[in-house]
Amino acid sequence: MAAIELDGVEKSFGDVRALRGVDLEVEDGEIFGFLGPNGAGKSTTINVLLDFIRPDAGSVRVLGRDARDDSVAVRERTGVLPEGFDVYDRLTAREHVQFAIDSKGADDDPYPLLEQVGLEDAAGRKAGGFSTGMRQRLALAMALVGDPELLVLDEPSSGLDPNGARELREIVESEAADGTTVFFSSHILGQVEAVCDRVGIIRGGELVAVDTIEGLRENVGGGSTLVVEVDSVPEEATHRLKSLDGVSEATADGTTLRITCEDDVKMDAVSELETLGADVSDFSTEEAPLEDLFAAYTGVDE
Amino acid sequence: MSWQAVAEKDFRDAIRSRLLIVLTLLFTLFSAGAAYLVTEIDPPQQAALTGEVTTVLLISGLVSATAVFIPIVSIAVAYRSLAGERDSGSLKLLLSLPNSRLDVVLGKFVGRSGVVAVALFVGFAVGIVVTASLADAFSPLEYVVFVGISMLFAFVFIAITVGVSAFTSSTSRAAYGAFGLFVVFQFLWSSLAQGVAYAVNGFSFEGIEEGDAVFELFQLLTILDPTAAYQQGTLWVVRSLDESGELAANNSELAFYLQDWFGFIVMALWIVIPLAVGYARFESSDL
Repeated sequence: MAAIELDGVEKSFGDVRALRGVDLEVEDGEIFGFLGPNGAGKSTTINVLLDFIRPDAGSVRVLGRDARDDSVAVRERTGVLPEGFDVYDRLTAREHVQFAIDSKGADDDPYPLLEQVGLEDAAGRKAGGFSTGMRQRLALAMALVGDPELLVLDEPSSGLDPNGARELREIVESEAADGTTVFFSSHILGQVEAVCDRVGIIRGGELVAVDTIEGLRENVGGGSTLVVEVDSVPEEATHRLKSLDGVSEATADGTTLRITCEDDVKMDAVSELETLGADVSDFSTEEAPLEDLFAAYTGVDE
Repeated sequence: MSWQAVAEKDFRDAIRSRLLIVLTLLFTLFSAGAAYLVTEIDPPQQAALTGEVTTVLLISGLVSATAVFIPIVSIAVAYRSLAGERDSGSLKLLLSLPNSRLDVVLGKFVGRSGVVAVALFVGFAVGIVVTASLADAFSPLEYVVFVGISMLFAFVFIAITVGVSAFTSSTSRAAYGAFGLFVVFQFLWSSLAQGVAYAVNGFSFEGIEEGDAVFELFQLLTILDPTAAYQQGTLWVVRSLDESGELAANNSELAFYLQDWFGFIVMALWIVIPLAVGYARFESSDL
């Protein structure tokens, strides 16, 4: 069974077509990263899953149920970290989690959940004084109430420091190890790469790719960069390299040349350099930076 | 059903904001002050005639004051209930949990009603002591009944305000909307009722007599105002307690909507309809 199924989902806000026929299937038990630049439709998609907004067309099923008609049943089995939320300033962290427990009809104890997200020392403090990161953690603790089958996290690492982001990743991984499906959005590929089984990339309201990270690399092609150390860079070297078939980019920095090319022309590139009179002391291959990969799909240039 | 969880959270939140304490003080001052005013400074005319301030007279004096005071307090307590959570984004937290939108509207209504009910009850409990010491012939039962009906009236304005708050997407619009309705009920309704009668009668007041259809329409419209319904309902109960049913017997030949108990039906409708309208709009809108 698929945990999330979107079929031809469309949504417009006035003249803006936020979703233009999104089809997406997230398998039971997988960690799915949902990527896209800001404004691409990530939050709209998540809001449709939660029945915060209603699509103009298409069907949305979550945990096998209709996201609109059975929304409460869906949310009973789903933990959500929404985007752009606020806490109740005058209620303590413990009261927030207790409220989630009461709403879900669960029988959890708030304390272990607060401990899990690193808020054990703030359990009795009012959430109004919390930093953005602490609010994120608190909402995550509320999401974890009742051992949900599905976690939906909208930009979960926003406001978290690197340490918090690592803890978040650990929580996501340990939940997934128990069979929980995790669906989370991010506009930074680096954050999803480490944990995701698959990623989907959305751009301008359309899903442009759904694959594993490796799969995405292969599809983009010319994904690797050859790094060559020489004694000195011959004149015209970058120009000559670029004119080779299969080389898309060549740059020189001091005595280092970076050549973006297809795998089977690497040796040609090296011998071309030697022909030009350079003494190659070392060479290695780097995988394309994730940012480039992301940019290739979203068309966002840095 | 998780409306209880929403109501409990809301009530807790209100206690933390010291809203409850402020409201209780307000109601205490009001009930004591109004009782003093009615008995000592500006007694009803009848009391001036008989020289005796009875509980019934006292209450009829109080009702015109509570009819203004209670709506204002109720609006202040409830206008932010849903629109405020929408503005801040905490509504997303609320609806991420398995609360239906109906749970949210009902929970808010119950939670805010609880806050006002506690404040009103405590405030008027203090008021009863003042009243007992001032009124010449004090009857606790009538006073308690008066407090009960006033509480119902508070629920009416909380329902109207929660309904408006669910209907709009911003707190300022919720405040204007709820306060606007209050002004309509308090000051404009009778003119509107007259206007309707005037229009139905062919744009003139000529020939309208007690007992004819246009006059009856006017009477019906008048009583549909929740504020009028509250005053009428209170007086009906207090009078019938006082005069052991004499008036009720006289009234039984009148049309149903002129029966004094009809005020309670009107109040019940003013609880159900605004909540239903607010919910319907809230349910069908995107967050």
